[in-house]
Amino acid sequence: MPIDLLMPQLSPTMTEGRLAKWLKSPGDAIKAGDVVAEVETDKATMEVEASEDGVIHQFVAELGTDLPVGTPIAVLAKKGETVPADYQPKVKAAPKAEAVSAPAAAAAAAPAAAAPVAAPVVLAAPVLPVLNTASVAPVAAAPKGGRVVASPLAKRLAAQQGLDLSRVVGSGPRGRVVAKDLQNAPRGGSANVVVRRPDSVEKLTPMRKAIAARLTQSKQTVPHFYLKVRADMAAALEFRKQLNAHYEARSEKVKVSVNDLIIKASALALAQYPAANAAWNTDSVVQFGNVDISVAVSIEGGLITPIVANADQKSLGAISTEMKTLAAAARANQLKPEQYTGGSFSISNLGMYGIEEFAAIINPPQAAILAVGAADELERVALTLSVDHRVIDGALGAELLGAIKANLENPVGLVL
Amino acid sequence: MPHLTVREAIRDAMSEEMRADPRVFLIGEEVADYQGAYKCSQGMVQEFGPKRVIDTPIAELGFTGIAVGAGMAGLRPIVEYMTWNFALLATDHILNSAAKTLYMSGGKVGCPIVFRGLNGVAAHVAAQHSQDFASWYMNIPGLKVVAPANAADAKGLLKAAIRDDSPVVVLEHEVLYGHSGEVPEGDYITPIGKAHVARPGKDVSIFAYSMMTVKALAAAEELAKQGIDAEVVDLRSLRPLDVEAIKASVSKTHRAVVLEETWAAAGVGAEVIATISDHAWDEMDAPVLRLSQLPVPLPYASNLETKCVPQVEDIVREVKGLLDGQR
Repeated sequence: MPIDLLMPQLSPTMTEGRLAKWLKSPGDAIKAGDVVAEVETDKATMEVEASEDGVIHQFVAELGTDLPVGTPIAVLAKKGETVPADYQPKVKAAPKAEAVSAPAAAAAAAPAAAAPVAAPVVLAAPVLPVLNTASVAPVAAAPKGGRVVASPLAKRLAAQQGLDLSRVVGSGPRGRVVAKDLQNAPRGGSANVVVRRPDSVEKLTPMRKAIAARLTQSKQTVPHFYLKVRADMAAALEFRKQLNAHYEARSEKVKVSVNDLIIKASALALAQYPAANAAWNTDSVVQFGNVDISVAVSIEGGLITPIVANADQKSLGAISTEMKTLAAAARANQLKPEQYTGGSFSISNLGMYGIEEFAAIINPPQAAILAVGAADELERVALTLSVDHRVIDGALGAELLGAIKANLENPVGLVL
Repeated sequence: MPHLTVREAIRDAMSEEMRADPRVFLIGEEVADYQGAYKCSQGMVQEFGPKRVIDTPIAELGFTGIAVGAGMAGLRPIVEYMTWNFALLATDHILNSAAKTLYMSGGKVGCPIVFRGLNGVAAHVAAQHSQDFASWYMNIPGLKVVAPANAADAKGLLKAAIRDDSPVVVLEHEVLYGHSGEVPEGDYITPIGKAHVARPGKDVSIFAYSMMTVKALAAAEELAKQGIDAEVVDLRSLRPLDVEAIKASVSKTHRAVVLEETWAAAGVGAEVIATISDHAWDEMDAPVLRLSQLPVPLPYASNLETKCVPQVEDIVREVKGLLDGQR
């Protein structure tokens, strides 16, 4: 019997994957464990390994397509085996994405899993944008990579006149810029000419779909309430300066950031109020055994939340080093599932963008997320805690946020 | 200026050259006693006698071989084919003997010869008698190829061909034989290798040859009524092509259409498009359009024949489409 190579479930929340790249070719002999393909999941680009030895008979899925978990992507022949011409690979029912497990399981080595997530974006009666096509041709997505489609004459004239073709709307077929379009083109320096460009349509990436589904589910089903305090960061900033000077004097390549201080301050507060380190589980509340902090990292095409596990037990230097490694891996799409799956509490920091304050959407199944703004002229930072009221009541939320503030304002505690 | 039919212009060209040069003679089927299958040699046997206006059997391979040999030996033959479709039998002499001998003899043996006859689509003579061979001969180094569209060029190009030391293929057109036009008096020559702007215009260049030039001019009149100022460039000479004229025209209009009676594949239009791409790429504001015969053996049935060959209304429609930004 030939072996069907299926779209694997590479993370607990993965329901489908986009086939990104083949690393082998039909006819290649492979051993179990060889990487056959790369798959873009809702979280990262991951490798698909062969589970058995064999020879690649054929690929049965196309690159770039989104395939449900369990869909055959290739057929392997066993050594010496001839695959019948009429052989049809079979689809295996996709295993359900895991639900939040019981506390006992959560305490095990694997971090707590995420809640089940429906793949499609949940919108009962979607209100969709009316597209401005701006040309007679079928709606073309904006040219990839910024390539401007223009006739040779238009290109030459634009170069001679110093015009930027990317600011010109093409009236030719498929939006091609032709010579007459340049007559109304904006001239260098003058911004008086209004240019209307066609809308572009970008297919959802698996990550975008996951973000949309998770956050829609959260905002629609989790009863959020919000608590806000301002923490005086003067002492924390001074403390950070001393700490970094200390590392520098010892030639250690550690530079603790404000965010690292907030991770540690939050982790210690959660350890102090374990009831807030929890998740809703339909008919129960899960209290996590570990303080695992998910930190939102902005990456190309979306964001991801790598986890600093047991942050309450780690030193600031360790947290800082780990966070740098995780952020780099996140930006390179190289996080392993265990590095972003689970987590008991999230932090989102937009302070570096100068945002004064904001309220974040809870990252299910967690029950709280801390939104951090920028320091004001008095070196105070707005901390906004979004809380799932099913799990955490106002008083507990207030105690948690108060503890975070206290930890930041008395930073000596952060070294313990 | 005398008003002549194309067949009279051809007769005058040959007669004038035969009077001027005793080495020139005409050979072919029915050229003498019958005065030419299409009456292109009227009165010539009477003037020059049967030694210089020679009737042959229906044997293209044979009489072409005789003529090519005569050309190599120092005469200047004019070979008339009843149609270029029949010259298929003689292509070995045209391509291998006439076109290549000058090169293969290291310049010692040339063949100043004219091969002429009707070419392209006439009226209901079916697939085997309707082919446009322009691109076949354009492909051959050592040959020159001309295709006149009016009486003046029929005379001027034929006289130039007879005087040329290379073998020259003259592609005439059955429908055009009866067309008439003014022909300059005297020793009128149309230089080989020069295209002619038959109608100046600024919006689009229409490149054509032979009968298609006539259609292009009619289409340009219709387009003018609709506000489109088309330039018609009569290529006249297909090998060598007048690259400068093509370049000059598209540099003015920035859009081009090529008309051909032949099929599109490896055709005249393809060569013109490649010329534009090589020499005038930065001038173009739209892809070049070509209108060709549909890729089927030409039907005999009149209605189908008409549909297979670009007609004036097709040209008008397609040129408008090009200018409306549909391409």
